[in-house]
Amino acid sequence: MRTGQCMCGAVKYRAETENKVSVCYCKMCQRWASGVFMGAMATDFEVTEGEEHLGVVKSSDWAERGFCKACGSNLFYRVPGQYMAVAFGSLDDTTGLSPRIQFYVDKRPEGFELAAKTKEMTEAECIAFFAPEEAGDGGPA
Amino acid sequence: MKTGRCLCGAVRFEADAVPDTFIICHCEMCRRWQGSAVLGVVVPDEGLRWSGTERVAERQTTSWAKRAWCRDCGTGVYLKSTLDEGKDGEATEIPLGIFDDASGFRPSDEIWIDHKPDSYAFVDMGQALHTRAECIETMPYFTTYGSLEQERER
Ligand SMILES: [Zn+2]
Ligand SMILES: [Zn+2]
Repeated sequence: MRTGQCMCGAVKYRAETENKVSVCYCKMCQRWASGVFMGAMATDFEVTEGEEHLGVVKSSDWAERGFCKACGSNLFYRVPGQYMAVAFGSLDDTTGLSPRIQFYVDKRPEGFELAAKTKEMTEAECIAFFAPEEAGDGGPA
Repeated sequence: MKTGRCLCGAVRFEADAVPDTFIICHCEMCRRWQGSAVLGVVVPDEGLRWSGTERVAERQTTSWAKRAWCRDCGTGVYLKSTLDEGKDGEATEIPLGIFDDASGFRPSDEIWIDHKPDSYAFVDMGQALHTRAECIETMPYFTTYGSLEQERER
């Protein structure tokens, strides 16, 4: 079980995580997270404090993103009932977690590159894998 | 001229004079705010125009700076010093990712490098690396920057 919180501390959560940390460079993630969205796959997510400060925005037909309304921190990306990733930076302790896969690498602007090599997927590969029917402008996210 | 917007499009900007460099900050506040690091472009206020500002929420997050985001989608839209408000020559740090075209920029500096988690690193593109102590030494107003403890006490 790991714990996390936003920058201002208004929203606190706990969740189980696996070492499945992904980095996404799709334009939606770029916008939302200043360039790189780094998320740790999570289950049993529970807001333990400040539920009233949690904002959830639907960012596509299937996904939504959670943020703190009091400080603007991004907290999670999820496909309800299927997948959830908590923002890596919001975790209090990231020991044992490191990026394993990078999505939309063909959309990665040159200045964003990570030094460590991981599995990589292009936009086309992501769409074929995650959303063959539904992907529209900008892809999954 | 370059343009950009938040995820939902409620908050937008256009800027006439945009440098081709950005700064990567690894302090704990930036990391919690944006999920890894903040990649920010320092844009002169002269020639910077925002729209949808009624959807912008601002918060003084350290003694010397404020951060702002879109109320509707949570996208961080800027960081700004509050020490020189109203003076000429001011600038606003805008997250690189919200530029409609974020290509063609290169990192000039990576700050709070000693606070970066070990589990990832940005590739070396010639950017200068600065520890927290070095940042504070050269830029005294950084003293409280990056300290969540101090922020909590405020
Ligand atoms: Zn918060
Ligand atoms: Zn927005």
